[in-house]
Amino acid sequence: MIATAEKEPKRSWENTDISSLTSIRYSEVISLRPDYTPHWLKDALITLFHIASLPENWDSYGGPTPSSTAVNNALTFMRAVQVEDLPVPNIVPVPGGGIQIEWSIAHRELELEFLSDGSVEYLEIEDEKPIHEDKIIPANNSQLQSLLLWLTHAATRKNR
Amino acid sequence: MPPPERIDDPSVRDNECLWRRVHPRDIIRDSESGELRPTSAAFRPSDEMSVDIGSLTTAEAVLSNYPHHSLIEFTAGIVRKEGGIVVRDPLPDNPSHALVCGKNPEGRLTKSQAKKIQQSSKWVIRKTP
Repeated sequence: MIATAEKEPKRSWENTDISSLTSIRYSEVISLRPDYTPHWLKDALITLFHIASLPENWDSYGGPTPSSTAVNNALTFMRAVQVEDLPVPNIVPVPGGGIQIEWSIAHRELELEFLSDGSVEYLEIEDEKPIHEDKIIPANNSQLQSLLLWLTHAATRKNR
Repeated sequence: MPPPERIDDPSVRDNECLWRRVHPRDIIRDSESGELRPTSAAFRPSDEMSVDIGSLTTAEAVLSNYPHHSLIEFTAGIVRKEGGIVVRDPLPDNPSHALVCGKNPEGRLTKSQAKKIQQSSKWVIRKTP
């Protein structure tokens, strides 16, 4: 008997520019199959959609609508995350047009700010103290995944 | 470094409270305490950060046109402790307006500065997000 590898079904929302979605189309995007979509990702996509729809001056200080570059880079990063059992991140708008994703696991926090110019600024926090920040130009997925690895090691240390 | 034309104004005392409006989307639940708090992103506009000097206005006035926003406060002292400066910047319709300038060339707070200010901040008025 020849074993046949089951091909993962193509996800309809892949390669979709989320900033161009209308609410009707978005309902198609978030109807993801629960058998292979991590819980955190589905919630994160819903939040990201709402943030992408913020109007000009949403912050009351003249802040622009989150840029499509920032939104799509955040989306691309989250799609590429291979870890399924992450907590749901906080996804928040940044007044200058960026998107920030924040994760907290045990004693570590990671802030990833996707800027409108395509770069990413990050901050590592340990025991509530900022310990390192830097900028990645342009957004480099392997570097971002390394930062996520740093974060998830907090759970490993906690479980010892 | 802050923009070169900006000089810290010592007449804004360290214990002076500086107020900033926070949009509901920039309020999150703290994973440790379970309390609602602003995200550090709320303190990261693209350049200098607008605030109001608390002793020169009222919370009601600052929120008068923004019924869904909350109001957070932090001291001028924490800004300076983290390497930032405070500058009075009165506007025709808002004499309490001031600017907080961070270490970035355009006056933007660094992420570490924004995080430290967030950690020290307190609610003046918190609306349910």
